[in-house]
Amino acid sequence: MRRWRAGRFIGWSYCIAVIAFLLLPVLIMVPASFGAGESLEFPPHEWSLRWYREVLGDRQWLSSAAVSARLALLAAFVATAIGILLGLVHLRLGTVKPALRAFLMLPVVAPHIVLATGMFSLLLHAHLLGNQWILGLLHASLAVPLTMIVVVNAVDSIDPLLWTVASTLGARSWTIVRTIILPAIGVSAVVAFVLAFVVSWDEVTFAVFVGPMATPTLPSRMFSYLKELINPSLTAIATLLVGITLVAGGLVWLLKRLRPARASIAAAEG
Amino acid sequence: MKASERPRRPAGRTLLLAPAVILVTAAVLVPTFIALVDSFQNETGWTAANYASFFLTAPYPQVLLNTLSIAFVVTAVSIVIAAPVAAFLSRESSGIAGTAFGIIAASLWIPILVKTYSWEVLLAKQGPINALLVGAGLIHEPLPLLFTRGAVILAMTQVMVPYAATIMYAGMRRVDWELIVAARTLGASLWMVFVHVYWPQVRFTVVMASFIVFVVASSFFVTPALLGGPREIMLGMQMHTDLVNRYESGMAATTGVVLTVILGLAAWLSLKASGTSFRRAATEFAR
Repeated sequence: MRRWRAGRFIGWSYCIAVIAFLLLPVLIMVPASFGAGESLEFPPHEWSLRWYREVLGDRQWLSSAAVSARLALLAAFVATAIGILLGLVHLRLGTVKPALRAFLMLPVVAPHIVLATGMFSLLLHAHLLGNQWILGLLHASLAVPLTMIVVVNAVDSIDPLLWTVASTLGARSWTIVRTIILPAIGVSAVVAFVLAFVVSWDEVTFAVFVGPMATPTLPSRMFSYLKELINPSLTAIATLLVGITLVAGGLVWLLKRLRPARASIAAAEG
Repeated sequence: MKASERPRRPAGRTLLLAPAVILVTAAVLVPTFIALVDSFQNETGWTAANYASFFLTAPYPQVLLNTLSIAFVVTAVSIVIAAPVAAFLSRESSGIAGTAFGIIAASLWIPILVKTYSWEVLLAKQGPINALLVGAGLIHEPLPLLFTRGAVILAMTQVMVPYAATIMYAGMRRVDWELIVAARTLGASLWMVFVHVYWPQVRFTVVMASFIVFVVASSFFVTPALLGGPREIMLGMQMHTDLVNRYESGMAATTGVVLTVILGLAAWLSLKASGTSFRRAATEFAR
């Protein structure tokens, strides 16, 4: 027993050390973004919001943020819709076969630099290089594996008899989808949407290779600035991005707690 | 529900599946095929000259070597760091273990560029790490920590550990601890329990995590570009330079095909090492 306790102590210490390795470098940078000086200081001698004012007043950063947000919304809509369609197939027309699932997981295991290179050539010849809608759709494809897993898992918790009962009672397929299925998987669909949004919002390889050049996405613009210099305004942007990530993460965490228990006939009656 | 009860409407099924299949085909298969075609072409037409150039002229062989060795080290270190975390947290049943895992999974969401930038700040000549070391009297001059292989491996490992930990955590949650207790009760040594009871249960997930980390690490683009020096140029950066600055789409495509073939080989080896069929691997993978 004592040995097990010592083991747990070591286990927890190790986990905390690893979590520190993952988070501390990013957290240490945060205070430096609130400095007033021209260069980064740890900790700053004087505190101010100067660099935030600078960044948030800069039209270039703002328009990049707008491009990124638009693309991420498109990608999230498309990927979530596709996830829901796959969920319906899974529910009504037999499970999605392992081979097909593996195929749809390809965007995770295919090296992005290779795909981006092939895309570059294709879009160059089609005169579509830098088209933001295409980049949005590419981001959607990267998010499909995630939305598929989230929605199909949610569909697994729906009692298949619900559909049979509803159709026996005379409901049409679309009515069943609208009034029973979508509400039952609604929370998971929102989780899938947020995940897909984050995938697109953070994506940098495709954005740099085939993304818009005049007004690049936020990560793409950040990348080209980072190659040049370190300065407090970039630290402010990095902090803002971490903040947005935290908000999205908190949202998913809350939604997961909201997720209703197994949707079944008993639950519908109760 | 029995299969016979399901309405058979292949047309509806095709319609529902079509958007997913079309999108993934257009985003994955089409560009890979185009890269394959491009790699066999230059100004004169069809040729294998690009491959000869790739393997015989600088800097390609060196860049390939950089990429594979950096990706290999990052994979090994990430798995070694993440495996105990996944093993421990998957065994703990308390709510706080769930929260700890949640924090690790959430760190996946911090943009790679932000993580990379934070190392750029930390490791800079005037950065806090050098200031600390000089302040403590350990060194007199600030060390050149940035633009080294160590910096690239450190930052890439920080990015990859949460991937490895989340994949292995999911797999290790299904370890049957009763079997281990039974083996111990029957007098097996700790080493025997590990080799014959524990390892067979986690082998698949560890190999799978290694493979995915290796794939992502070998196609890293931004981190080595920002934290590495000339000796840390990886395939992704070379391909970007070839495409955008040198208009050598043939060489970029060739590089891509070589990388894809190497990763395909790695997938085959992983499948062998995991001791499972493709079918089971596909099912588990998309879980």
